[in-house]
Order: sequence, then C-alpha cells, then structure tokens
Amino acid sequence: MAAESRNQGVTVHVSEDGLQASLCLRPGIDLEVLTRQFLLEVLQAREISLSERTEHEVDALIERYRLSPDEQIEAVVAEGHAPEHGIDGRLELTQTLREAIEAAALPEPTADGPGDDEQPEAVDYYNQSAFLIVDAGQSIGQVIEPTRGVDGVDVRGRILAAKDGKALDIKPDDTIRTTQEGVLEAEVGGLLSMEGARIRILQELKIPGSVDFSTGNIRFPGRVEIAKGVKDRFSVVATGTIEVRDLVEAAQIESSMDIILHKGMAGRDRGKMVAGRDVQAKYLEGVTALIGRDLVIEKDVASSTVRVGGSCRSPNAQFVGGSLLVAGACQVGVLGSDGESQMEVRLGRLPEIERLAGRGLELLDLLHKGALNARREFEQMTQAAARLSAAQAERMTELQFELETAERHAGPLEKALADLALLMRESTRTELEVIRRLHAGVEVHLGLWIARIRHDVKGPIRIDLDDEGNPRVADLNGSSSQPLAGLAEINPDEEAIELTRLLSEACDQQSDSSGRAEAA
Amino acid sequence: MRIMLVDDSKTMRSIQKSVLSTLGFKQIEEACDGQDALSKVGAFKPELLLVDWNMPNMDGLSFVKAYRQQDKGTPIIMVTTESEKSRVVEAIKAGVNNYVVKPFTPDMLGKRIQETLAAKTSA
Repeated sequence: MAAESRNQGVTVHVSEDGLQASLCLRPGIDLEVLTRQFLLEVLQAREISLSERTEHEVDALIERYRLSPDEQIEAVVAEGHAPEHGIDGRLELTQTLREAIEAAALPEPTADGPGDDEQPEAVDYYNQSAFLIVDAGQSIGQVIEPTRGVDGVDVRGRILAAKDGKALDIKPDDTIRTTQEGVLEAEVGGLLSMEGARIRILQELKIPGSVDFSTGNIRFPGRVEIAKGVKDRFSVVATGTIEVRDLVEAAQIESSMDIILHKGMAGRDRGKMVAGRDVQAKYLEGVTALIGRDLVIEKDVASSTVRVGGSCRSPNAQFVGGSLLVAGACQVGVLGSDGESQMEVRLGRLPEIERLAGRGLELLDLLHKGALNARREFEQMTQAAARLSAAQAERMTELQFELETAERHAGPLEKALADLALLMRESTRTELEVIRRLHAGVEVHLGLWIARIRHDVKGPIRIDLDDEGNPRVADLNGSSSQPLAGLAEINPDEEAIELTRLLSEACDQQSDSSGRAEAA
Repeated sequence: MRIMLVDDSKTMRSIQKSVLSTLGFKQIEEACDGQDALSKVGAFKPELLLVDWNMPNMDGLSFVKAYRQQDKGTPIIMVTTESEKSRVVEAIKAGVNNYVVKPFTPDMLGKRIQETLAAKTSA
C-alpha cells in the first residue's frame, strides 16, 4: 500500500518502489491555504525531494483545483528513476549458426513425405541438418562483454543501487580460439558442442538413430558413427571413417578414410559408396563402390560394380553378377552362381591411372605427328628453294618453332608416361584365389587375356599369370599348375594389349631421350 | 622490361612472344605495322623493340627512322630475310642495334635479344 499523509485534505502518495510521489487534493480545502508553499511543505514533510518540475506540477495542480474545487484531483509531482541493471556478458552466435539452429527446429515431414499445406514449399528436408557443424576457421560468435549498471534514485533522493552485468563464464578448449576482438573461431572442423560454460568442437559425430529426415544429409569434417542405418536417398560424406551399425539403403556414403558397415548396403542399383581407404561390410547389393584400398566382405556382393584400389580379402563371400575390378590380390569364397549369371572380374587394373595414361598417349601421338609433319615440310622447303622468299622464310621460322615446342613438351610427357607405367606395374597384382567354387560364365580379365570359365570349378584354386604372361590355374591343395585354357575359353584382351604396347613405346622413347641427353 | 613487337604477322608475333616469355619477359606490346607502332610507343615507352622489315602502311626501316627522331637510345633488333641482308647496313645507319635473319630458331632469337641487352647494359 502506498504511504500517505493527510494534511487538511491534502494527501501525499508515494509508490511502493519509491519512484513516484503524487499529491491528492480532496474537495473542501480552504483556497486561501492552498498555496504552492503550503503544498511544498507538505511534500518536504514526507522527505520528498523537490525540483523545478515538482513546483511546476504543484502549480498546475492548484490551478486545476481552483477551477473545480468540488472534485478530488490527483497528480504526480515527483518522479525518481529506476536503476538500470547491467546486461550480462553473452556469446552472440553468427547469423549462419543462428539460422542453422532455427532450421534444425523445423518440424519433420510426416510419414507420407515432406511438407503439408502449411509448410513452406522451398524447404529441402534432405539438407536440413540437425547438427551444428562448423568448418575449420569458421567464426562461431562474438563474446559480448557485460555492461555496468547505472544507479537509480527514488523520490526521496535515495540511491537505488544497480547490479553490474555478470561476466560470461565460458570455457572454450583448444579446438576453439579467441581473437583479439573477442571472436570465437573454430580451430578444427566438427560438431559444435555447447554444454553450460563448456564450448568445444567434437571431431566425432555420433548419431543415435538413423540418417533420415530427422538428421538431414550429413557432411562432417571428422569421424561419423551411426547407431542405426541410412535411409533411401540420404547422403553421408565425411573426412573421417564412417561406421554404420544397421542397414544402409539406396543412399550415398563417402569417406576419405574407411567405411565400416556392420550390416550391409541394399542399394537397389542406386547405392553409391566411395572410400579413400578400406571398406568392410557384411554385404553389398546393387551398389557402385569405389574403394581406395582394401575390401573385406563377410557374406556377399550382388549385382554391384566394385572397384578396389588395393586387395580384396573375402574368403567367405560370394560375388554374383555385376563387375569386380581389383588392382591387387583378390581372394573370394565363391565367384558367380549356378545358372551362369554374367560376372566380370578384372585383375591387376587401375582404371583411373589407365585413363590418364590413355590421354597422355593421345597427346604424345599428336605431338609426334605434328613434329613429323613440320619436319617434312621444313625439309621440302630447304630442298626446293635456293633463295627463300620473305613468306617462305617466315614459314620456315614457324616450322622450326613448332618442332622446338613439340620436342620440349614430348620429353616430360614421355617421362610421365614411363613413371605411370612403372606405377601400374608396381601397384598391381594379377592373382585370384577362389576358396570354394568358381562358376561357369564368369569372365576374368588378366594380363593381356580374357578367360571365360566354361564349367564350374571346385576350390581352392589360384588363377594368375606364368612368367610368359599366360593365364594358369593351380589347385591350392596340390602343388602343380596348368594352363587356364583347360578350364576356360581364352581370348586376347585388345584393350589391354593396345595400352601395354603404347606404354612400352613411351618407355622406350623416354629411355632413348634420356640416353641421348646423357650422351650429350 | 617493356618490349614492343612490330610485325604484320600474328604468328611471328606469337613466336617472338613465346621466346620472350621463356626468357622471363612478360610486359609485351604488339603492333601490326610501323604506323601502329608509332601510335603506341608514346604511352608504352618500350625498352626494346623487335621490328620486322616488310610491313604494310609503314615498313620497318621507315619506322626506325621516324622512331629515332624521338628516341635515340632504346635498342632495336631488326628481323630480316636473307634477301634484305644487304640492306642491313642501311638499317644500322638508321639506328638499328642488331638483326636476326629468318628463318631463325627460337634459340637464335633468344641469343640476339640477350646480346643486344648486354650491349646496352655495358654501354
């Protein structure tokens, strides 16, 4: 209740917070007594601080009362000002992160698909990430320092103390740096974690469920562990290893390191997998897989296109349909199936390197042809005219320039091709071990040959090349080997022959050039 | 170093530019004849010129004579054919510092340029 004092019909109200004092004049006050001085004394008696404004308000009040002395009149005659408490320090996240947080809060689509009539049409639910992922060097936010409070004063002139803002209690670890301007920046890429005062970046992302509409596509600069699976049409791209505990559907999985699938991938011809290093999986079905290093399959690979940059070590697995290309040694349980389903196996191949080599050879061929034509024309002109016209002299200068340019570029290109040929020889191995059964219909590309298996062969067997480069097969339980022609229809692999020949030529030319250079 | 190539043949200019680039010279201006070159030398201020002899509008010799009226110091290399070789003395009198005869190899052109620049430096 407001404090009051009565003095001949005059009441002073002071608000509870002490910030306002008002005068109330009741009807019946003697107008001769009602003077400014009188009212100010009443206020002073209540310890109200007087100011010019107070005097002005009092005068106005008296004036109003005189006009309507039969009415009760009240007015605020003095005001204090409230204390302004300081603002606590805070971390103001960047716009990008704020938007990411808002976006992550969007409602998920229903089981029938994304969006209903009320949802904005442009929402891309696949790319709506539920995680705050930052890149190395990315700004996280600005530390805003606390502000000091400003004291207030009440109508009695007493100080109303203000509180200063509290400093931000934030503890970034060494994954986050603070600039001189107070900006927090990520030292590393990863998941931004803010737990109370602790702020850090985790380089491992653990997803407790599946990768689906609740998480959006995942793009993470670190290791990813998925407790369940990955749903159709979603993608997981990570610089670190990706480990998935449950089924991967027709999705895209890409890692610069390893991919570990505790179950497998049912790609239905749309699944894609790219691993910088190794892949381990129980099974793959309808998957296109590009594996930088080694492949280990527990059960089977069906109707998939698999390229392995290292070796395939799957002695219990069955490979059926599709194609398997392995640069290093290949060990499988069963190849092909009953019914002679189409299955292609290419051993000792590095298709990307071969493609590069092919392009290099085309370029070298162009250079040589150009140089040959230039040389011919130059010689003809030299022989034909004793005295050259200005135009002829100019043309001969052009030809000499063409020759010199071709020679300048051909040398390094020949060297590069020779290096590629060496790399291919050293990085590949033509060896296939089939532990249980090799079915008829399987086509094996090895060396300069294509071998189409004529009838089922019981394992364990090894297929490779003898010292002359001819395909042979050996029973791993026995000691001898025999020509593969006994089990398979053997034909030359024209593509491999051509590439090998051209690379050999390039190597020979490079040796000649080096020899000439040394002799010189 | 700023070098101007004066030649009506774009191919020849490309060859010379390529040789100059190999020698480390990147600031190149091209002109297609003597008139074109005279209109550009004021703004470009070349430090070396390679000038072809036979050009339409204004040939190489006429250009050298006109250019030497405003600049006596900048070295000029004349690019000639065997038939013009007898007139080389005339060109030297006009103010040419060196010459190279077509057909020339890129190496030969490079040598002439280096000789000319070395001579300028020692002078």
